[in-house]
Amino acid sequence: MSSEQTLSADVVIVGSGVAGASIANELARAGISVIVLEAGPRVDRQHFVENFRTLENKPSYQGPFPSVPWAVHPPNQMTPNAYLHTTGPDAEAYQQVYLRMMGGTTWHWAGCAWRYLPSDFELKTRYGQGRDWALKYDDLEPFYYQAEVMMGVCGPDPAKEDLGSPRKQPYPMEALPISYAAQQFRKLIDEKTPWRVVHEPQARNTRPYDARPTCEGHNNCMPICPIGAMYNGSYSVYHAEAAGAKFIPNAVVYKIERDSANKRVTGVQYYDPDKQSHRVTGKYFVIAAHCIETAKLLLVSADEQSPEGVANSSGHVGRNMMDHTGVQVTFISGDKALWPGRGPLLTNVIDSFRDGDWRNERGAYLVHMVDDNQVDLATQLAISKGYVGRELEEQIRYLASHTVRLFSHNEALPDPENRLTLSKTQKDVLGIPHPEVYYKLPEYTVKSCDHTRSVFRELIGLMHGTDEQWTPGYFPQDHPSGSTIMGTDPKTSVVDGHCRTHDHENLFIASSSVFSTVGTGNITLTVAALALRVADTLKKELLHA
Amino acid sequence: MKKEWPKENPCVPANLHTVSPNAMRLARLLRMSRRDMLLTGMGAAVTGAAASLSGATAAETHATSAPDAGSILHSGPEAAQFMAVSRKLTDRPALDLRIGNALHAGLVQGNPARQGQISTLHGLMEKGQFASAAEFAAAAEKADPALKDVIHDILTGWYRGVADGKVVVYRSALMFDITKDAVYPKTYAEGGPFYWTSQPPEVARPTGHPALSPSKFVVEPT
Amino acid sequence: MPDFKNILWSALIAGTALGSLALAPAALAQSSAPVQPAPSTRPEGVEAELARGAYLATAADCVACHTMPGGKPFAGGLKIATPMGNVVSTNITPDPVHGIGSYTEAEFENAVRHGVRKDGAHLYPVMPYVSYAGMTDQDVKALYEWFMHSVKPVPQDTEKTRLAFPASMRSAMVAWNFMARKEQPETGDSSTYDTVRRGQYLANALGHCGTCHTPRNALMSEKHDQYLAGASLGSWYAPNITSSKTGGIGNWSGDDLVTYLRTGRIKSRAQAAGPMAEVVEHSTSHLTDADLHALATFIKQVAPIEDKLDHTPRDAVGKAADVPDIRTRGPQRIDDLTEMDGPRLYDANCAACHGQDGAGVQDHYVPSLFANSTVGAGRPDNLVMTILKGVDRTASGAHAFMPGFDGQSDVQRLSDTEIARLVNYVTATFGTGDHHVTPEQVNTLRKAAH
Repeated sequence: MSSEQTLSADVVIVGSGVAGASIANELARAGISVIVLEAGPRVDRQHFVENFRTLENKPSYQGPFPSVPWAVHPPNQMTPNAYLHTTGPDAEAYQQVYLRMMGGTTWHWAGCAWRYLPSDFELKTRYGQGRDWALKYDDLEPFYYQAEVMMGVCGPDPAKEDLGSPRKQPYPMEALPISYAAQQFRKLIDEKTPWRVVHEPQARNTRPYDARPTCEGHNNCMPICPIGAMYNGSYSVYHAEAAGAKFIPNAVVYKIERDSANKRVTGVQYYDPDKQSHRVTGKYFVIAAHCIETAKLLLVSADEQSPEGVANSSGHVGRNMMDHTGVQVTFISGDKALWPGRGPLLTNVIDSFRDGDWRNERGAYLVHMVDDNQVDLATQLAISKGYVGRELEEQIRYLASHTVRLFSHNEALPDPENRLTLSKTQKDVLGIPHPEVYYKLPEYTVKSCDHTRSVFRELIGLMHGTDEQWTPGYFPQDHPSGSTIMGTDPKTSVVDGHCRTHDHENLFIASSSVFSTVGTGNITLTVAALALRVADTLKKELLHA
Repeated sequence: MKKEWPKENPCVPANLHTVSPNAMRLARLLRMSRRDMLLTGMGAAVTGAAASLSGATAAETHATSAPDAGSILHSGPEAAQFMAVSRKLTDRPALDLRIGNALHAGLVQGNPARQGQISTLHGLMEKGQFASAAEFAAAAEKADPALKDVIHDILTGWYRGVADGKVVVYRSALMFDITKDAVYPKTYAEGGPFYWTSQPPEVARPTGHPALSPSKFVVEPT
Repeated sequence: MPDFKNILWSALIAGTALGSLALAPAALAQSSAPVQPAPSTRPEGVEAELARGAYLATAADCVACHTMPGGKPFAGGLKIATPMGNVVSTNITPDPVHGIGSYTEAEFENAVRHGVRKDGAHLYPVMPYVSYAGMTDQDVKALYEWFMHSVKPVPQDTEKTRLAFPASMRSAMVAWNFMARKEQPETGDSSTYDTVRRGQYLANALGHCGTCHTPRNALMSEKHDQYLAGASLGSWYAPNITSSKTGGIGNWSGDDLVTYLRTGRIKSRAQAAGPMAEVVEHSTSHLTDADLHALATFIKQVAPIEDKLDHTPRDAVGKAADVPDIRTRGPQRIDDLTEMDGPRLYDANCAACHGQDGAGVQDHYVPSLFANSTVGAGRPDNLVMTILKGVDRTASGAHAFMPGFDGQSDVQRLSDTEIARLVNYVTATFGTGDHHVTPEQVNTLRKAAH
């Protein structure tokens, strides 16, 4: 392709993750021409499986995905890295990771597929905190279901276990049977506390679904499901391609062009890995490039027409950064052997702190008991303690069977001061500035985390736990959101209730970046539902134009 | 961080770390990583605990099918020494020679001084009468505190499958052999769908004591 | 639609068809429905005859061809690709205009057993009248009554079959029919036959095993001196199922066969995939115990015929691998999609479920790869096809599933070279040795399967 050639399509999408690919699939199936520009390369599963097995630091879930130089992603979670720079009082609590490649970050999510609660969309109205979304739960319900069918989500029967998000249809698949360890945890919570443990809804096959197999419990949802039993965005890429959508990998978009009135987007420009520039035009544009990269792209596109960046007349692009920054503790249970690590990673949740009147002063949260194989960590530890021979082996078995890990997703609030900007000093090999985020944990979240710690202490006591180890500070959950916030007022928000930018009538955003508040459930299902709603809007406008 | 990205894949110029706004925090986290804290704490859990190794442990099930006597000649006397020291340190009568050769190569390649230390260990072992790994390891550390590191390296090799910070074997590491009655190595599961709902084996509180002095456990931040 | 082209190419020419067509789950559910006796006020004798007709339709697997995926049962419209063009199955519901509602019993009989339509035109031998010719008068009548009274009429047309010359000349079938050997009609009440005769009736007049498992002569008729000795369908290979203990399945007990036909698998022996999985799913898993035993008894007494390539029982070969997973490289950059060698391909794509030792999972939900007729066969065709297409078989309440690795896979897409290397590694490690499968061979099967 020479740089003189101009590509064109009805809809041009930036980003091939779950948001971009599912929109592409919906549109292509409706006969609409689509071009998807993905900064990263095409990838495949077998190499990631091998990469994981050859990776020494197994808990590093970015480790099996060494990025390409032209589309760098953070190399490690929890580690200050040379790409996403964080500053501010809680900088280390905002070390988000994600993947820039075909299919996106769902290559290494754990499949947790929560719908938000109706109250999550009206936090301001109900509790006087944060903001309301510019849509209601009921607006999204049909698209939640569409997303669940697309991904293949298993979950509990609402008649037996109501997760608080009203459903018109049952889950596409029956709930995943939980592990022995999770059963014991659930029993304890049921018998000894006023709280409850529920089945986590998961985009994971409990029967053959969509030509992919039933989960066999390889315990490796993060970083890589070895058999495809869990949804990832690459399936939507494949389905969209089969329907005729055109995907261009290694296309790093760096510029969004507008018409002279600055009302309509006319095209985007991207670099290939050799820094040759290409232009793509279309009728509609969707930026679906992950919360961090989406805001970065809008800011990078600043020019004389829009000195603060595209879609940024409000000045809110890059602001209101949120996450589920939480708390993590590990301890040794004094009860029976649990042997975590049998089955999928995340299957059960305490959802008793997900909603309540107290949300007028502290954030809600979810608690996960992580069902993660502990053998490697137990081995490293036992060796470092000086054990050898038979004594080493009995230590490994004991630690691997008795370690319990809990972590929480705590609700953040949109604060304009928590802000993504472009690095003034750091640029990638294409000359595009790195992103930089200032982060101070909202007091609302701090209070929530304090509450979580007290609950964790109680749980440790109930399990006769010893040797508790708290992750220092706060624990990032890699659910960044808010950087192109949704609202009804163009002066204080970037997109409207349909994820259309207030400033540019043919520019949409499909990402967690539009979230007005972040709730407690993992963000992916809501991202997918919003994306499918964008696809629905585009279909209506293009097919009935 | 002890490990760089593979040299052929320089996705992030290493020197950016020193100029990034995070440089100071990086230094702090390197001193105290999350896993570091977590694991150091876990250690206290069972130190000095008293009880006996359950009969259900896999300690007796580890006979490997690869006899390691026959082909030692092909690998030279150093490899034979490595295998002999390894058997002693693991309290195991037999270890897989194929894995042993790969571990040995990895250990020596990354740190040429290791060969001399392995020979020293072997010499100590030949001279003394050690009933167990624990006795031998304690005597070795007493003879030369520096030998503790090589013992760690050897045990890390056999149990974790890692030599010189690189994976030599994954699923074939001994840590998975001794836990195979309960869990599978991640990405290899042979239980079929929903096997995880069944009750895994109970594990008694360990009785044994450390043979070596404790070490600071340094791992990569994750 | 995996393997129509080649299966039905031979079927088209040779004159029988196999009930092996993929159906949508909806249609599957409906396909088992006829087995249930319909509630009605009809006299008991009529009721019994209708039930018999329903059962015969299942045994003969009519629904497989005469129903489109997601379509109404027996309304036809399924396109069966052949090199001469698509043969479109017809509407055989009792609708008088669009279906066979105006057929008399004699006209029905003429179509089912002789391949002649009501209007006198000759059916293409995709319709297995050469086999059905063996049905008794009583069973043809029961089938007729069932179609006329229990199948719901569907007033809808199907596309016309349009084939290229000379196959477009339906009259040419007269000559072919003259050459092809048909089953001779059985007589009497087929439900009273002794075990072997009943088994033979099920195998030949209804189930038509020989269609796939018997090799063909130059005129594409089945070689009757090679009955069930194994034949290629162009993609899948229908193996020798004679009683030879080395080349066939003489080492299987009658109960083994019954288990296989009912569930599609026998632990540490064999699993049905491809067309055979569909036969099990749509037809044999619905047969009565007595009929399955009759079928097994008959198959067991078929004369042994040695196989050209299989000299040891296909399902009694190989052993668990004992190879440590020694690793020599760290993680590679995400855009490194270099083709791997056989051991690495196996490790990255197969070992997660089949185990590095090839033993499968404990209850053989995932089967072992040694002691496995697909891996131990002298012909690697079915192993290649299984890797390309996977396994998707629901029988007796169990859903067996393995993803395919072809160009439509969402799990992993493997190249011809990768599949060739993988197959050679698997047969060398768990089977009879390296078959030196080439990427070109894989490509041929890949194309044939489309």
